Amino acid sequence: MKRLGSNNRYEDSYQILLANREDELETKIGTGPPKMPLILDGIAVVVGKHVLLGNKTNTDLIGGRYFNKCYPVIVGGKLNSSFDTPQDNDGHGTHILSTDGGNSIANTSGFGGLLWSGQVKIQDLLMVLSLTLLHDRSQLEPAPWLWSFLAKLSSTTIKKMRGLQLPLSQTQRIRLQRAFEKLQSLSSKANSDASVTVADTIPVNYEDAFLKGHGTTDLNGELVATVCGVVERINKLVYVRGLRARYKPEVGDIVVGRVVEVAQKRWRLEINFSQDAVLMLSSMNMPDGIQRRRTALDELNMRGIFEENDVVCAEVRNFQHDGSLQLQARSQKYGKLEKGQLLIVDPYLVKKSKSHFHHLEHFGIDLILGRNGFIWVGEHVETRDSMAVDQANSSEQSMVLEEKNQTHTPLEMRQNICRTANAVRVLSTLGFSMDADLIMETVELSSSLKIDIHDMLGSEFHVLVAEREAERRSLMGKRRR
Amino acid sequence: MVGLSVGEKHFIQGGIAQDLRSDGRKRLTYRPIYVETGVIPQAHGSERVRLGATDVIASVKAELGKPSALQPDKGKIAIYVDCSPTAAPMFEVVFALAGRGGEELSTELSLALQRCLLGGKSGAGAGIDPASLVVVEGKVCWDLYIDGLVISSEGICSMPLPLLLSNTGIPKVDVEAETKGDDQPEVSISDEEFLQFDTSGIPVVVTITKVGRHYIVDATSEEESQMCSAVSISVNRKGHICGVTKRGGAGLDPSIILDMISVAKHASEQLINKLASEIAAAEASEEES
Repeated sequence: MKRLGSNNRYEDSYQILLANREDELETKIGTGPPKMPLILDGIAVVVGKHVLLGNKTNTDLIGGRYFNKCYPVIVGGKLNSSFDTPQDNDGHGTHILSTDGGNSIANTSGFGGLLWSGQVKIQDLLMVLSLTLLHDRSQLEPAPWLWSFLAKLSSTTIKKMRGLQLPLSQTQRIRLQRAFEKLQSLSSKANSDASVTVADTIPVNYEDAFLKGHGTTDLNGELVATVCGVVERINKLVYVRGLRARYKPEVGDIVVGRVVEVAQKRWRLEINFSQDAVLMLSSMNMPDGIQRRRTALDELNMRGIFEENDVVCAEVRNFQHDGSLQLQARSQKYGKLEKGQLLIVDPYLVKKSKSHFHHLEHFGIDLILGRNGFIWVGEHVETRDSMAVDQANSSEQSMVLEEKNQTHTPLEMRQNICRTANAVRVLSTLGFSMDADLIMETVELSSSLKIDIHDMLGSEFHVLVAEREAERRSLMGKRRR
Repeated sequence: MVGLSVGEKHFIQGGIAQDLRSDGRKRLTYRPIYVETGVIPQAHGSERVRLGATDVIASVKAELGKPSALQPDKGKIAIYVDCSPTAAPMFEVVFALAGRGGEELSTELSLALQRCLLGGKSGAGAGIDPASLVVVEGKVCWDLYIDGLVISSEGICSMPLPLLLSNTGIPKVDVEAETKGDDQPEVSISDEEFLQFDTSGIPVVVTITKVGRHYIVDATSEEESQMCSAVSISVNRKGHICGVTKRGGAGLDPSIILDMISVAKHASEQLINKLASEIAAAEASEEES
């Protein structure tokens, strides 16, 4: 391992590492000026005369590093000293203003204004690009080529990301490709599903009046995307939906959330939004069903209703003035969810529909599609009549619960729950919108083909589901005509 | 790691008791393992393994070096596992507060792997035979550096090692001239010929997690939050136990450990076969491309 700083040349380094673990990019990216070593995911490739970085040093470089100007870059050893280390005091890497599908990540600093850091919520970022350019200061070229290079880099990554993370055999790959092409051709809006990366021009008819939405900006008279994602058009509004965007709530949405905190007269729920949503004690029905003022005793017994880590179903009531969300759970169908499993998918896959609560009678299970991407699959629970819970009876209640603990879900219902959950997982991997009918069809497909529950997560079933969906949509299209 | 509500925990425990886990697996079924070989072209052998959300890259580099004076007929092997800070949020948080959180796990994994692969002090029972690494006794030997990098981790990651080593091709070495005494002999490293490594003795690490009264392998992070305790057992192809590590949790009755060992032996056979087929497939696809 050579020391690049050994001849005392001070070098600028901007580091962009690929944190999305797509490999094989080194074969695809040959663009950009020479003398630029690429570090992809800890695998270094030498370009020009620069150093080959082996595994050990790369492990320090992953996650993004910050090289201050005017300090020699030491490669080949553990980077620990605060001057020579590429880390800042918090152990974060390259500090740049960060974007998270349009939201901002706290605790990052703007330095150099080059790219993303994404240490805090790294899983929300599309990718953290960390590319070390180690070269002489004199050879540092201005940023524009870097932008175009990065745009190309990100576009290849996006294309890879859209590919499934499944090992597909050759025939399976071809079949899947065909199914997707068919679906694309059937899509009524022709160009609207164009995926774009940062700095791509959005195809728009400039004569028509259109509104520039999120993720777009006007650059030199052209409409250019500022995030990586998919172009969506609604009437005259053109915006770019980030691929890993957070949930965007609307009043009246049904959401499923997890309690993170029991605070004064309210619960805080995590719902895949930029802030935690608030469920006021007064927005919750009391267990005894009586409409009354919440007393101090009620406040002390909040944990008896919802505890930390409980899964709760509620409805969006309104937005507070500071942008946070308020929920209400006044109806019997809302409340704590037990005896099942929670699945997390991308929020944009759950579209607004008439009903988000589905009781699949045939299987005896409940399916709740939260618009924030949390989907609950569990045993069917009859909407409870108000139970009388006195303080004196609370011990009795806990006894009843203990007895309930002994009785597990019956095997057949559990199998149905697992099948439905796997169907949701398959649809989410394929990127199809979640719809109760679609989920049911997928489950029926799997049981009719006698596919083992676990094999539903295999590549063959994914291909089958994609083909089936393509067929179904083409049939629907024909019926319309 | 996200917390789980009481209802969900109960559901998971019930599933394990009924031999039907949340994603439909049986208790002793592994999730699909994806293997790609040759991810690091500069290394002599490398592999990337994905199991659920756990992603590990391993590589082997071989360099010529001098054998130690105490063991002149053996080569040297160094194993090191590193957990990258992006691997799991927990590494990140501890890192910011005090020391490096990932380092503890790194050292733990490295030590565990060293023990099961390198055997005891005298070299007995080693998975890799160091004697096969010697070139010229007393003078030149191969130094193997086995590095693992955990890119993302979900729960306890115990990556099976045979993978990376099977892909290693050590270049064949020709000794040029005979020298006497203490002179260093000249060796030329052939670029063309490679000696494949003998991987039949290499063990596989199986982590058995006890939840309630049952044992599962390949626990997801939700299932792991329910565990009483977990034991990692490395078993080789012949069914011999090469290492046992208890990974935290409640105390165990010795009979339970023996029980777990027998379960591990059973599970390891399936795993070894599965890995062998995956490696073969990965190598075949690599040759195609």
